[in-house]
Amino acid sequence: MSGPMSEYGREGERLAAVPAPRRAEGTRDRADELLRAAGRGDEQAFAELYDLVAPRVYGLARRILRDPAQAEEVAQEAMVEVWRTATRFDTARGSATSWIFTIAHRRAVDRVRSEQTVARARQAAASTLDTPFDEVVDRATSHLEQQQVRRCLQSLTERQREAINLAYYQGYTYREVAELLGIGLPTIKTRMRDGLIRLRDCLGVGSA
Amino acid sequence: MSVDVHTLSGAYALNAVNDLERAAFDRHMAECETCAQEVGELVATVSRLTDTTWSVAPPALREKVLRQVSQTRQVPPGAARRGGSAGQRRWRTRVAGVAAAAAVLVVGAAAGTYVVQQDRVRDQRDQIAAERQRLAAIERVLAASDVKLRRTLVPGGGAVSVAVSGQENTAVATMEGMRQPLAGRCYQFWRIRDGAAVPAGLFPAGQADGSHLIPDVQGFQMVGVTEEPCSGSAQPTMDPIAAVSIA
Repeated sequence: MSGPMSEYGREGERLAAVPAPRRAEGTRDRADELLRAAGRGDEQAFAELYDLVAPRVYGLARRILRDPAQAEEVAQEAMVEVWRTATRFDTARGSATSWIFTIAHRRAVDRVRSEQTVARARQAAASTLDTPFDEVVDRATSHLEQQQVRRCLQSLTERQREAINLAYYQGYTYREVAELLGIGLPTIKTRMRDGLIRLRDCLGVGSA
Repeated sequence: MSVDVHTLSGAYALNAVNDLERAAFDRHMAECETCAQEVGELVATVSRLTDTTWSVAPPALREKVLRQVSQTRQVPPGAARRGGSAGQRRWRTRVAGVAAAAAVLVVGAAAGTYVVQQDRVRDQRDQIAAERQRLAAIERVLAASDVKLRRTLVPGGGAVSVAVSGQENTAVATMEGMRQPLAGRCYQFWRIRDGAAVPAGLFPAGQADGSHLIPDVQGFQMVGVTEEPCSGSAQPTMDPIAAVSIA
């Protein structure tokens, strides 16, 4: 079967001409600087930060919500929240990108969870399990960071990938994932944790 | 540390937990440094998953965000991690534990309101004292051992969270990200029992964010919000914009 994460296997086949990839560390350091400046009320810095992260904030919202109009609304809410709370950003507690994407993800899944009962969710999931999200045509698939993430996702077991996919990209709670897959809660918690630990080690994410 | 709580780190990092579980895990992390470090790394790992969601955002979005940003006041810095006495720290830890992200939201919004209020009434000490009392009452609700927290999203944007404590016989309603009320109208709060609404105070004109204290909630099932004339209504003139269970 083509599993839920099968799209990760198709790397780099499309879009020969893409923007030059940014160095991952460079992007993250720059985002830290810009968010700190935004925290001092610098709107110019915030605009630059927007350009740096908006494709992923919007893309994430689009991936989770699917509806472009809703994704746009959620991305807007998330970016304004980033601005509003930039004063509280502290690099000691994580990177700016991590902080921003956490806000965006919470906003998007809040929206999903408020609209979907578990029953509807189950139905939606059943219809999407074998249908990789393919509407985002603007993906720059040769982006180096993407390739690394995709390669690392491939290093997980299929079950770990499935659990992470359903939780992160579709916004289900681990309880819903357990129900969808018909497995116990301890098992699903372990799968998520073990999968992320393996992903962490593959990506070389340290405690900085 | 219990194995059960510890294994929640993955689901927590994926944001695949509900508010209560997040609260329990936050409380756990406050006491477990290795867990906090693991979660920090897993959250950073999860944020890399966005690398595969890259999509060109609609050009109009940039304009909308920057326009809204130019009209949006930032929260005061650092309220979440000031030093403070051991007692205060304990209180903060407890708050973080009890109500998690939503409690931070309540405290943040309350602090924002406080600053605005302080500017407005700089020379009026009694009003400041009243504001301090109000904040202290909010703190008591959030720190109560029986506090329950519920949150509901408002169609059209924003959310209303309600923290309620039976021991304190008080609820704290917090609005966040909601649109401004129409001109001449204000957000009014209601206590609701068996479908009947009893007035529970209003936000001042122009206020759409912040926390509101609702005393004497015993016997009521819901807290509701409507938009009313700023003089306040005796009965709601519309269906609730949001209704949150406090039972």
